[in-house]
Amino acid sequence: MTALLNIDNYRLDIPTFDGVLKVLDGIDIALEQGDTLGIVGESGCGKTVLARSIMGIGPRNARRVSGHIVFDSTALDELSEADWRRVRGVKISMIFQDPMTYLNPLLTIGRQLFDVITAHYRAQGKPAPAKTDRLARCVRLLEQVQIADTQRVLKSYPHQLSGGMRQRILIAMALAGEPKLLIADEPTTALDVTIQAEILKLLRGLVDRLGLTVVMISHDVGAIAALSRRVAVMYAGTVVEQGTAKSILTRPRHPYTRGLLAALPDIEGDAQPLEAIPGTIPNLINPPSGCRFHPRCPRATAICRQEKPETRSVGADHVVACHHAFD
Amino acid sequence: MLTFTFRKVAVLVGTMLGLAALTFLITNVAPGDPARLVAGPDATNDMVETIRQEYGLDRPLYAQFAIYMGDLLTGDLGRSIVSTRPVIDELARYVPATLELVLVAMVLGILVGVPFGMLSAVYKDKFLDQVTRIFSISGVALPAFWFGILLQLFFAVRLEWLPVSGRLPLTELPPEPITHLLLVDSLLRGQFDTFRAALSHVILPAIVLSFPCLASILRVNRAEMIEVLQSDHIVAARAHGISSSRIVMIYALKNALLPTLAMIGLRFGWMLGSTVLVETVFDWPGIGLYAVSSALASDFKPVVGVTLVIGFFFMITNTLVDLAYAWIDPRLRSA
Amino acid sequence: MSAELQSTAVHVPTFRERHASTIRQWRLYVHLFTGSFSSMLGLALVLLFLILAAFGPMLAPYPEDTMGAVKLGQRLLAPSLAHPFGTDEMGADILSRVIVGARTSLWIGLVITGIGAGIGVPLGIIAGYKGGFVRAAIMRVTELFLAVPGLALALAIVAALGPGITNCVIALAIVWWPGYVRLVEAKTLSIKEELHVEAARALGAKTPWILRKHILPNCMTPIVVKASMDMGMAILSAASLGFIGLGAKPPHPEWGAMISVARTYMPDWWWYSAFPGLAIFLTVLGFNLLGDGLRDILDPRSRGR
Repeated sequence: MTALLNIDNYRLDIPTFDGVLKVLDGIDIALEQGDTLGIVGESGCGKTVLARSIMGIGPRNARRVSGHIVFDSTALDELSEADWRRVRGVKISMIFQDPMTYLNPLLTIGRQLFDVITAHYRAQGKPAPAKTDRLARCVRLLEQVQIADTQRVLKSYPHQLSGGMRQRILIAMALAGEPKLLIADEPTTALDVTIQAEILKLLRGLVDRLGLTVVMISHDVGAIAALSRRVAVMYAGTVVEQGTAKSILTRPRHPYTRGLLAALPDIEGDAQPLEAIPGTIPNLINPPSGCRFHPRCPRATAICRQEKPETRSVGADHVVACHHAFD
Repeated sequence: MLTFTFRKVAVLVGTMLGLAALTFLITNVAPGDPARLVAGPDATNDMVETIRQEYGLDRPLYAQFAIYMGDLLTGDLGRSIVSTRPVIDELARYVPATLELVLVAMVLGILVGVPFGMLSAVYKDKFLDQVTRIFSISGVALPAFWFGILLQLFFAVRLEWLPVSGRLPLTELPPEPITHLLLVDSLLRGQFDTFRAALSHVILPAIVLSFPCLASILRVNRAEMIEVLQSDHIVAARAHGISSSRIVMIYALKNALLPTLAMIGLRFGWMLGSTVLVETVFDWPGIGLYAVSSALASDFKPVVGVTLVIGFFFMITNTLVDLAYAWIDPRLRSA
Repeated sequence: MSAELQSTAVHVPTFRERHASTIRQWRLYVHLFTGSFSSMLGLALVLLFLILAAFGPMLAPYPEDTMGAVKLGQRLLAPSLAHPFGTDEMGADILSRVIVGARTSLWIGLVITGIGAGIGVPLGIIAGYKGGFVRAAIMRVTELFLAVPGLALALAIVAALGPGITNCVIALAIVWWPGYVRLVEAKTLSIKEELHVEAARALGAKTPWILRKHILPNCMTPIVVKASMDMGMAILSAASLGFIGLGAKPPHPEWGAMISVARTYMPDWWWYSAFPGLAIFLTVLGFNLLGDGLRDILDPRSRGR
């Protein structure tokens, strides 16, 4: 069985005044239908660029150097803008980070949701059903994300609603086209902690009920663990470790993953000093040679400076790219 | 929304009173004798004295101010020395011509400026954008009076397509006034030849007047469109599959229209000011020409009258723009 | 630890290293500015104008014509090799008069912009920083001046003061400052809230020091951009008043006044109004393009990526 989403040796450059940013350097990710993948990494590691490239809304001046993003047997990076309309929102859909800025402040929620629904019919070349039917669909979508007073919400403008409410609306919009793949870009980062839990619970429920395939991006390992069966760890434009969440979170093999997990406060375990990873994320114009993590790595040796580590299997559904991976 | 409107109108009245005070200040701070300023340079000493008494200029300054403001509130703007008629009557005759010219120019500016601003934002850095960029920066730099002369030379003198100046040919009788706007009145009366004549007269001055305005509307709309098109909610709309044309025409334009609207309001006032140049070049019988000919004849009261009228229309426009802002942007309405 | 300290102490950073970010910043500015055709065109036009203003009397082919010399034998000659821009009704060489007119325009632009900024910037900083009653008072007066289009108000003031180039400059300066107040006030309001100002205040810095060291430097970008654009607009406004007949008086070589006279020689002697107008247009265009280019590089928000 071929995977629903297949990213194969994907490289992306962004030219800037200071030089060419090597944002993504050979990404390999495969995701089966119905599976959930969490991509975790520090800010600036390229995870958002990757997510947006899957949607075809990456940086305008970005250049694909090699590789493909294949979804449902279609190479997305070769689609024309017209073809994209039959994909965005309908087959692949996205939830964003900050629900305030991702809703148009000048239009009511109803207007925006209604437009999204109408656009989906047009995109699939189907005649749009009567206005009342589409309105009824707006209401059903809001109910699906557990919004109670739908009529009031439909008439509201974004600034009149709370952050959690706006995020629910964005989720409803993302679900409007009954997509196969849902990309969630830091869906809880901009929210209060209590709201975060609610939104994660809502997403969890939706994923289970609708059998969605999900790619979730976050720097919050907790949020990732709550939603994803599989995890990919990104560092400076590369995937350093990938596998089941259980395997990676309980037995991380890559020194960077270890560092990332050690930097988390553990409220259940004994009080241990938090460990920060020394150094800062590298400059992507002149990335470190060999393994991009070697300047910060406690286990680095001469080979790490010279050779980029191959990705190798270290267990059932668990791969790592490191010369000196932990056992 | 109602309190918002009320507040804006209160500000309008306050500023109007302030403006009246400002004109009083200009009259009195200027070196020399205000009575002589009002009486004109050719007046005899007796006439100056008469004026002094008539306007109460022999009284203390605060009393003069009270008289001045009182007169203004009753619509008395003094008399013109040249024509000896009340300034308010002459203004009533000249204002419609100016309004007609400015409105035509404004419509022209918006109809060209907004769509081209939008297009050059969508085709940013492409050929069309480069052309409109040069065009829009030159538009602001063009001296209106010189541009007017060039257009006259080319379209009126060389090609003889359009009349050189004036509002109607001398042979043509204006239609019976309804709105006092010739274009509207001639249509309402069904006098299509008059309409055509009036239109051919208004084209050149309206183009000259609208050019800088068109240029800045275009620039603002372009800049705002570019910014809006990069904003998060546009990215989201794209991700949700809304078509590019709909995003540009509805989602982005509505957001970009707000600052464009502010610019339109600003430029409306600027156009009213520029009428003093354009009306002079095209011999257009409006308040601009009236102000200039009065100023050149040292006839001061009409100049003050025109300043007040221009200020009045400018402030009305700004109030309307504020209201339109609140109408478009829900965040302001509830604030 | 101590070894590390020593090793860094031995290495004395070079000038290039110490100022790496500043150097990068300036290289970026130069790169962006020189990469833009319109900015470079603006710079070229402004330089040309400045050269004419500085050396005009030396460059003019017939310097005596700029002082009101009358040569009735060569009235209103069409452009030729001897008189590339033709001659006027007094027989004076229009090219010479246009060249010398640059100095008048430069002077007008500098004075109006200088006075406008000189009054407007301090008032704007005070209004933005002080707030309360002081701000309300300053801003009310400013809004009052902005309530009438500048040209109309300047016309009224010149009418009261009497025509003439000095009065015309005074009138324009009077209507020019409110724009700076509004600009600087808005900028000051936002800078005031920034942390480095808060910190300076918390450390007990005195108000004038904060205004000079923290507020003013951060307001400079928009001020410089506005001043560049205003040079052009002030020259244009003064020429407009000259055209109306309230500004400079012939034979004073001022571009607007020249067109004013030239208009009566339309349409047969077209060159008389065409060339002084072209000079105004190119000068104003130059300053506008320059200001626009400066804004593009200095204000990252306006820099389209």
